[in-house]
Amino acid sequence: MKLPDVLEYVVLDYSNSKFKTTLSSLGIIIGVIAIVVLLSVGEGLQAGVSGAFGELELDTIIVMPGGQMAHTQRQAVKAPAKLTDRDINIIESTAGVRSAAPRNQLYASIQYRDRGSAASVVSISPTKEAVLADSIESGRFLMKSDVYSVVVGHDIAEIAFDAKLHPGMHLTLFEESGEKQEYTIVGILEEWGAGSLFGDPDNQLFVTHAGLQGLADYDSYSQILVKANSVENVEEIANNVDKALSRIHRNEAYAILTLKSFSEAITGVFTMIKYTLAGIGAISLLVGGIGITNVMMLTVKDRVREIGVMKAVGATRTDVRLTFLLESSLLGLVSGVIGIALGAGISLLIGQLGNFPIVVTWSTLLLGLAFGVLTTTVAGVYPANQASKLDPIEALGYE
Amino acid sequence: MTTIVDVVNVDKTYRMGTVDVPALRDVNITINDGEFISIMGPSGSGKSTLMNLIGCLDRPTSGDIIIRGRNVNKLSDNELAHLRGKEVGFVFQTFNLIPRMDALRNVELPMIYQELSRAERKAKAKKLLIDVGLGDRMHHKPMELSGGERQRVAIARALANDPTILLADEPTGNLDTKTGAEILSLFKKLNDDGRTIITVTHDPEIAGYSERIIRLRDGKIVGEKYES
Ligand SMILES: Nc1ncnc2c1ncn2[C@@H]1O[C@H](COP(=O)(O)OP(=O)(O)OP(=O)(O)O)[C@@H](O)[C@H]1O
Ligand SMILES: [Mg+2]
Repeated sequence: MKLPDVLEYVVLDYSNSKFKTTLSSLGIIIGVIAIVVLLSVGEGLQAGVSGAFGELELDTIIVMPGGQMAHTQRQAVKAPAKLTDRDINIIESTAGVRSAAPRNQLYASIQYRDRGSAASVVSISPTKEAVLADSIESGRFLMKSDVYSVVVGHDIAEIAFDAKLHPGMHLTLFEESGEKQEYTIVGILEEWGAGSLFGDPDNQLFVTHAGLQGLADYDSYSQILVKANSVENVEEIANNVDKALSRIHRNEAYAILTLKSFSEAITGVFTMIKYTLAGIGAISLLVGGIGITNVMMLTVKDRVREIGVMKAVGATRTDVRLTFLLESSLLGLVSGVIGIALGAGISLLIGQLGNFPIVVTWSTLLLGLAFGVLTTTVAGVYPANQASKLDPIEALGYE
Repeated sequence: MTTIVDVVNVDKTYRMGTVDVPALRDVNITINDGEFISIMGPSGSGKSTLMNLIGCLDRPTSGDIIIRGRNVNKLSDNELAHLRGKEVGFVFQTFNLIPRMDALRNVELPMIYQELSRAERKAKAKKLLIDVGLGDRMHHKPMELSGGERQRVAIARALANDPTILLADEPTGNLDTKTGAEILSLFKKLNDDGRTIITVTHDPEIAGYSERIIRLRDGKIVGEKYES
């Protein structure tokens, strides 16, 4: 029996029993929808997380004073390390390090004319903050020689005060202890959108280290952002940095974090969530598959006489098996196509209504389709075999 | 005259639970090309059983069935199905058409399993339907046809692969006398064209048409009569 003829037979059969067939495919359609929607939601969650990390780049190593807790009671709590320019030099001369950018940070009240607000003020070394420097929207970025100059995050400039802030305006900052200092706005940053591990640049002010001294006395840094020269070796480079620092901070505590390990851990969790969701979809497919087996068994039973006729006019076992198996697979293909179309639609709708990140990928759709076809094909094996084994005379109703 | 079917020492026993039901005992028949044979006998005498064996729908319990030199016992299930599709055309008392398919498609079916091309089998099926007088009923489904028309579709289908033997198990049993007579003359015509026909019948009139009558009783051949 030729394949096109089997197909023709199957299609003919479908057009004769549309209702029953459609009803029976509902389980598969629902299963495929579930797989597509759940995978898309999972993919969306994952993309959201990687997106947040993407901005920061995975080549970043963070060095902070203190941080490490005493693991046991016996172990004395170490004093936090003082991170200074000496550490910057040591880190920058470590193999694999491209740059080390020190930062400090405090929370301050902002006054513009007679209006007040508050934000965190971050002090930076302008030459080492290429990413920030690249995101200037208007005005200019900070320069090494700047003292009482400030670069303003997007949201503060746009919405914190009645008037939009522009380069050239003056802001007065108040530190908790009462110190105050007037700064001149030199630049405004573009919108970053998603926040980052370092906070949310849209709601921060940036000044030079010298500039921050106007509000508080700092003799060390609260954070050093180290850029490694390759993402692959970032863990190894972090170890090198650790070794170099441990020599001069023997009895002091500091912490070294890599974003890569952090992001991998989180990505791992989301991958797990994603496949758990897909697993739920797979279970609904399994249930659908059992439904299909039942329907195919009924179909075979309905057509015992017909199978007898097929055999009497020369159909081999293989012909009969192929016919029923293909009928089942085709049911899966049609249901699968309907399922992925509806699934994609529902996913996008959920994304719209829930304002939720949803990512529908081709591989998700293909996976949904493949599972649909696979399920119905497997579901058809047993009924097709039963059909092929029928004895022609008995099937003809003992002629 | 060439022998096309040889039935040699055939026994057929059905097993019903623990009881053996003998349906045929030591049957020997030789059928030659172009013969028109009637098989007669009381109900339960084994007529249908014999037809099914000759038609390769079943295998003997012992003995040999040889169709055109090929021993049925030595063929696999798939080979047997092929032989059946190619060498045998069956006409059943209850027609056994597929209700979901129209007349044309029903006649095409045997050719699908012999892997004829689509165009070839459509043309052949049309010609056969015209030959049996159903040129204007090709797209009717069995439910939309009369009994006699259905039987003619079944005959067209049986002839689809140009079989060596046409087997008909009580082909007029479900038809009224007049329609039965029409079917009968169709068989006669086919036989005149050289087709070998074996038919089971209770009707002495049909038997009258045939060249040889084989009588069965309790699974045994009890008489063989050649008409002139
Ligand atoms: N599948 C079967 N299982 C058990 N016994 C069977 C089977 N088929 C036939 N028989 C038995 O074999 C014997 C012959 O049956 P068969 O159908 O060949 O008779 P028949 O001559 O065609 O009768 P009828 O004129 O009523 O059609 C009967 O006794 C019948 O009961
Ligand atoms: Mg019978």
